[in-house]
Amino acid sequence: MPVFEYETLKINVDEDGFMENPEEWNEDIAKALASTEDVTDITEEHWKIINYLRDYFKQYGIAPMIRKLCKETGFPLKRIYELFPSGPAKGACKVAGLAKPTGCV
Amino acid sequence: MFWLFIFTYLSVLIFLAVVIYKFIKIATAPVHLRWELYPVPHEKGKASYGGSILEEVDWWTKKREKDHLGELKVMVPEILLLKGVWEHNKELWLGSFPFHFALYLFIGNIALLVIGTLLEITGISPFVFKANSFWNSFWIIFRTVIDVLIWVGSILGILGSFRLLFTRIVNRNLSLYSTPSHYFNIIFIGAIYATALIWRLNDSDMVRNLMVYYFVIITFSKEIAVDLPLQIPAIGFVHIIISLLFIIYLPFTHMTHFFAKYFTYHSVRWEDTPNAPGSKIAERVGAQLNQTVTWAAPHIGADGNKNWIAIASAAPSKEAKR
Amino acid sequence: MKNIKIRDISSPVEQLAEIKLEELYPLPPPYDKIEEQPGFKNLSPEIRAKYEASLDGVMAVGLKKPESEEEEKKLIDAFISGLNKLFTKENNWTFLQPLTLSMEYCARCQTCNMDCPIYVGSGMKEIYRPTYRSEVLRRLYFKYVKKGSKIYKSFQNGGIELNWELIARLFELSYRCTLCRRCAQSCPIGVDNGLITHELRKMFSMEMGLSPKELHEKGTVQQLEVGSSTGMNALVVKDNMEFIDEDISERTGIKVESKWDVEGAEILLIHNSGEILTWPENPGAFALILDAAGIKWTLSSDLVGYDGVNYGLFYDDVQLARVAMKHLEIAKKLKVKKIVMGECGHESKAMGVIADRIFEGAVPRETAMTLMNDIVFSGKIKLNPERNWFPVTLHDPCNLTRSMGVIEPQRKVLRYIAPKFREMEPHGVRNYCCGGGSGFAVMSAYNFSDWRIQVASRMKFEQVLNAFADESPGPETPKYVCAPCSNCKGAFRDMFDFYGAKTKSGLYYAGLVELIVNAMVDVNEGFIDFDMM
Repeated sequence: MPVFEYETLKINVDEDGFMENPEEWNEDIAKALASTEDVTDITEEHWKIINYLRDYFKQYGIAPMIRKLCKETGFPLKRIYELFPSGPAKGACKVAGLAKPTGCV
Repeated sequence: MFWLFIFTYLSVLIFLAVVIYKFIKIATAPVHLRWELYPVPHEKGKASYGGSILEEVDWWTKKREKDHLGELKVMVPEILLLKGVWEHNKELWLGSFPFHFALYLFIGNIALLVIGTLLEITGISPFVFKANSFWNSFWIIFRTVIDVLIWVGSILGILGSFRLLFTRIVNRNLSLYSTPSHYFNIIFIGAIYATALIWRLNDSDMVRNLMVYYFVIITFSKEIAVDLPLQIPAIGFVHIIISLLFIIYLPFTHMTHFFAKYFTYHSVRWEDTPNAPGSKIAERVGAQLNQTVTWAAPHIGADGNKNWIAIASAAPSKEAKR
Repeated sequence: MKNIKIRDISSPVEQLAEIKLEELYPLPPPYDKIEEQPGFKNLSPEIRAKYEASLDGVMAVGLKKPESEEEEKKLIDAFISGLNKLFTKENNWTFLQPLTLSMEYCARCQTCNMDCPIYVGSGMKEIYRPTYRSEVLRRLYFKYVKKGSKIYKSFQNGGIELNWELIARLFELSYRCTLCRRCAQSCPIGVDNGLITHELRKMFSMEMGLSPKELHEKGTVQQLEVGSSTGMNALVVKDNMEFIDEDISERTGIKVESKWDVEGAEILLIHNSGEILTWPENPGAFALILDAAGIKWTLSSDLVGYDGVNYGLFYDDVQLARVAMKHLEIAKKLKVKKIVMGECGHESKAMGVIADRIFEGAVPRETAMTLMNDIVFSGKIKLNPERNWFPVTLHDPCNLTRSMGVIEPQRKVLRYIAPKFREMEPHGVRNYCCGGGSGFAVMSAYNFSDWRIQVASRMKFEQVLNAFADESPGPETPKYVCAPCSNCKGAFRDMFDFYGAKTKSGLYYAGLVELIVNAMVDVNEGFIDFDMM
């Protein structure tokens, strides 16, 4: 299992850089993971998305539908791509500490 | 001469035995899952663009019509002209086509010689001259056709062999994938063509001699050999022996594709029979599902006793999470 | 290594082949400048120290290096044992006959080579030649499975040395082919390299327990345990469909309601559940069309019943059978007249053709293409094709076309409802794979997606660009690639994202049903909204 090191943090991640133990997530880890996703500064907008993803994940154990994410946060997909260049699944979910999405998504 | 005849019988016997064995082995293999590949030419009205009956709504209620003529329309140019090679690999076709087509001409000759012998057996002898009779003209044409086939076949075959050998050596795509046998086989078959041509060049009676040889072989008749002794030149014997050696060798090589191709097309590529309840396929599959599975990966959960049905009905074993 | 030969697969060199961007098949502008492309991620030395990347510096799976000589020996023994089982009727009756034919009768004529989009796209790298891995397996077959004199076998078929290097490379190499079977169409003998790759993957999975996590643990195993490869359980999927119903109703002005577990329905519709999460317009459009056509239909909320994927098709016959049997069981329980497979190529092939002989007393199955064609021309829904006034091309999913012969229905629909429809070349039964076939679209570990997008999808990307060559090249004209398959859509998304093709060329992708709904007169205009895609 690869370990991602950022400053003093050591995070267990999978081969795609997603957290292996999403329950260990905290805001510092989010900042660390953001650095791998071309997100230099986590703004309010970023947090809004991250928090929504975290809440949904806690409740259902998987990532929400992208369309739901857009609707609930009020961001069009385009804006999400601007905030997280790799997109909602690979970018935003990773920073929010979710496990890598699976299946044909 | 006696040993030559014995050797001929032996060669043909070995050839037939091995080919039949292999044929039966493929034909009786377990019925496999569907794996057809479109275009399937027996799909009536749809084969031209590669369509199938699955394009029809409620297809299982429609009558299934197989267009066997459509299959022939694909098979004939494929076998005779090597159409697939022409379309996808022209460089190779330049050698492969004459090489194979010459073989077809020689096989055609064998068929003619057998037919000629059968006629002889019925009493229509090609060696008794009767002026202006129908059979007289027939035998003249018959011999000429065989003669032309020898000339055309051997020359085409020699050119094809050289070209094929050249391509296999010079073209890196082919040389990388060629084993010693590939070169050997081309030279082997090339030698059959070459000895045929040399024989014909040295023997204006080659057709007559071949006819006598076939007659003796087919009728087991020693007398005729006395009446009409074989006047085969040494090169003729060389040709016959090389050809017979080849016939023995052939079934032990991948060149058996000449009949295996029937299965790759009809039993795999074009095999689209649905599994209807109570059908022969359903019955055969049912029997196969009772076989014991021994795959060793943990998620399979095989224990040396469970059959396919038990394995497929079970959830993946917990050890699956590796 | 230069001038790679078959036997070099067991060479002790650190890495057999190397991907060089400048050697790949050239793309047309504005994608022709290598320095402007995102490029290729190299694996870190730490990863390379732990995992096998000795084939081409790419890892699809990440095979751990054996830790000791005993372990290595064990693995080699397992490989030989698997190799032998692959040729027994007890373990592999499912494909024994086609496999044996493909092993024994290849003439090594290389006629198939240029039909492989991966080989051509890679700039003709030896290891990606469609015959390379086949030839390695063939030589192993003759050496370890087939009886006979050693010298004679090696004279006929060439020799090969079996060692751990070979196994590690062959395993990765079995994930460098999308099983598209285009090469098999051009084989004069009828040999099928796609099948050979398929069998190799099976042997690794079923005997040695080696397969990509995305297909196995997170794929079939999760599907059989939780209900879907996406991880959605019944609760989540119902919740999501409810959201989709609301969203689609709002956007179209037509009340849409998904039906669940309706006994005796005409149609049991099984989507690839990835659609529900990622492309919700697709299941939404299905619901809208089926209702409008007055068809009694249902979804299933049973375990596995709401996810049509069957990754077993790509790597494991037992997993294939397990998933397929669940699908059948549910259809029988609901007593439906037929199953309709949603817009998913491999689901259609798995249920429609491959599992046909696993099912006993099966429920009839048909593809969504066929059903949609029937509905569109039935007169039950009113359509105004002018609403689709943008260039459209059709991508043919290999599984639907080459493996099922479902070619015309989707075209008939498009020729009618998309006035600016044009074919790409080649198309139909001779199409190129999207590059995401055989599970690739869901595999992205390590640097695999870099390889997949730039090599496996290369010919497809060029083909799409060429199909729109007569249009204004920039983003001002949105161009619609109709890809009626979830897996292909995933490949197009990754491809277009990678090259920035949305902003550079205005390339968009979606399915067939979306175009139908967009053309429906009763629906609010603008169902297809390029700003949202």
